[in-house]
Amino acid sequence: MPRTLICGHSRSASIFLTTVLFFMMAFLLVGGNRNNAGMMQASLVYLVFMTVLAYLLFRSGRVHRYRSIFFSVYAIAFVLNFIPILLETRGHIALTGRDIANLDTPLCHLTIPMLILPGLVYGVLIFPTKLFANMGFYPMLFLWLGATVVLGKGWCSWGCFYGGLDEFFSKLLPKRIVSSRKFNYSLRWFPFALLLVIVVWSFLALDPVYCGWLCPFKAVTEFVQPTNWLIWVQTGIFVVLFLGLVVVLPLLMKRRTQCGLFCPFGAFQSFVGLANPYRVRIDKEKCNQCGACVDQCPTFAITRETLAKNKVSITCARCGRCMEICPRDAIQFSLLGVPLRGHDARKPGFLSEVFRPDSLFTFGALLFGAVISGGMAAQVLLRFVHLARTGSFLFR
Amino acid sequence: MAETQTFLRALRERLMYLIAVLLILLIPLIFFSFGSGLIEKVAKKIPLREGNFSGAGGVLKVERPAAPR
Repeated sequence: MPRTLICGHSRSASIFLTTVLFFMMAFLLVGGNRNNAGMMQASLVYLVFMTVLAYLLFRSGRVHRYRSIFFSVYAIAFVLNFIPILLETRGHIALTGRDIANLDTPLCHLTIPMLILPGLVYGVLIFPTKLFANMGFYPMLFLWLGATVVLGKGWCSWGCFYGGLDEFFSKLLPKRIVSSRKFNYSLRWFPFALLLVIVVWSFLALDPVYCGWLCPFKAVTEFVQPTNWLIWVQTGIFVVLFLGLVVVLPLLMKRRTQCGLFCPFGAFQSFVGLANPYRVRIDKEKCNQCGACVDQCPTFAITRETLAKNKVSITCARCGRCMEICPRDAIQFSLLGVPLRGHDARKPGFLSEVFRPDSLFTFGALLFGAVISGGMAAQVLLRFVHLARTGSFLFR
Repeated sequence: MAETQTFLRALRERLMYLIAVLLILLIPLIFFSFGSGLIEKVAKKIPLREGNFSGAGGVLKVERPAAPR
């Protein structure tokens, strides 16, 4: 593999960016828990973790490496927190008919594309959740809207609490077992076809079909209690999809196969994320078409064809892997309407570094990620302390 | 003409950097809005109601409304 040229920040710019980020994270993470001493202490620990990670990211320029650590920790913290919460509040993980009738189902962002059309036409929410509950419809809708403006498609690499699971499994083995040289890259359009099918089907059936039939993440969150053969079939499907797309294929291919080849929400986010002004662009002056990025892109967003046009696909999740791997520093975060100057072309200086598009994007993404994950991570830390003291992972 | 174009280009670049900074400042506002009651205030104006689920057999099914709005 060719030697890579990664453009980190100078020590002074890294310290400045990390310090400002530290205070903003502290304000939002610790400040929000000032009435709960335990959560405040756990949030402080997480704050230190995120600050160290942020400094290393800015200083080294290895966006993907340090984002990947954060993203995996975030997803694991989500799962380790979500299941105990269900056990504490409902007493069981599997959804019963009574839970559904009581609208006692937490909503996740994956459901949003299926809810829009029935909501607009019939004025009804076709998912059994409450409108204003803690993990109900409106909080999730507003969170998603905010994330779309701030991160765009970057949600899939910095904000989604499921994406870190395939990221985690894709990092476990040191080398690829299945080569992707003969991979058919047109498969990356499958999520768009699936999105169309589930949106139309959900509207016609007034049923969130993706949640019922296909969502692999039911394996690590909640699922309908199997009471008849139909639900057993659905259970089998989501278990197979989870094991295949989130565990086995990422392990073998070292790529995020669920996010890149299956997730219909990711396809949806590819469209709505265009509202965000950040893009990943390839500098045609620098790129020598070596194809290292094609081989390494975790979400299959760069192909030989797109590279020949010096472009990345709409499916790019802003993970930063291509920037890390490019031997000529030809791929960079950029702002719409701002020419791609390259890290080395601008006049060197403190302000030029701080106001680099990649600095601004990663700063915002880290802040958003830290705040959205902070509560979960802190609570999981407290659960481990509780486990050590009482032998139980549950608070009650 | 060339000067005007250069000026407009510089203005557009500055505007984009300003938007980038504003997006960062938007993040605390998003998370503050959760505790402020703003979401409830805005959402109550949206004509959307919760579904009525039978829950029989655990299948997620909403009762089809009588007629579109």
